[in-house]
Amino acid sequence: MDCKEISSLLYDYTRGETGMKISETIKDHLGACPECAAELNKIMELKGIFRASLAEVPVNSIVKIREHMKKPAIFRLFFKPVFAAAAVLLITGTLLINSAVSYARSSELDSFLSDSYKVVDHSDCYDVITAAYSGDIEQDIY
Amino acid sequence: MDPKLEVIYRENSRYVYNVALGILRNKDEAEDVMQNVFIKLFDSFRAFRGEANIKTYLYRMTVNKSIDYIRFQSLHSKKNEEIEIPEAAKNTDSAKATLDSLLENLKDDLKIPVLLSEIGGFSYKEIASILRINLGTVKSRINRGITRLKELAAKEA
Repeated sequence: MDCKEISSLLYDYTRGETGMKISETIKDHLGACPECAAELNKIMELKGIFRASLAEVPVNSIVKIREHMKKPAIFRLFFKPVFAAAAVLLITGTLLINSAVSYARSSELDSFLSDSYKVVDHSDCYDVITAAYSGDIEQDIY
Repeated sequence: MDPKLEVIYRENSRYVYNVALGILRNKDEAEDVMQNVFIKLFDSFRAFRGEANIKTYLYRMTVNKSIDYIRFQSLHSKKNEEIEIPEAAKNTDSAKATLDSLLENLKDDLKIPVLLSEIGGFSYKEIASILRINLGTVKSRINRGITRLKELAAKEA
């Protein structure tokens, strides 16, 4: 393997991701090649930066989690987005159905009432009464 | 809280927090992501079989939640509040400042596998499983990420 190939495998080598045979080849090469050894050094410096930068977890973080876990399981269920969304949908759906049913009922009631109080045309009756008073109708009756 | 859950938190919280912090570069958001990820895990703890399963889930959720945060922010054009490094602490805390500036210039698709490898300590195979990408892609992204970080570090020096 030449320097270019070795260099491309150096990070994998530090992570133990190269096989045993390749690792041996790299190790031998590094012993004889200062350029590749310098490349490995750069990678190790980077890794050092990652290690040194690890931040501590804020102390109070666990408090919120503990408080959440104290709540009864059924209550915690509503903290799950899927269940929360399902609950919102269920409530919205129930309200919509209720309002649709009550609208249907009220329109049913409206039509019933309007049928019951329909304005009747009494002009025919008026003619019959007038005829009765005038005596024209008597003949028809008997 | 169940002692088992306390142990899981104690063993993983620092790494989960630092992976989120590496992606988001914002302490409050990283803490928020970490808390949500643990709460979600503990709520559905009984469904898990084996520690490997739990770790994969933890880090997958951490990456996904962090990406959601970034997406949400870019949707709302809110500028990322970067990690505050007090002037006085800059010399003593130079590693954090260096890493922050390096990660700032690394694309997420390269940054995330590198963070999972360096902070999470996962093998390439595990990273492939967490990110649901194939092993070849993990290798190539990590190597591109490290090459880019070396270039950036050289510029900073």
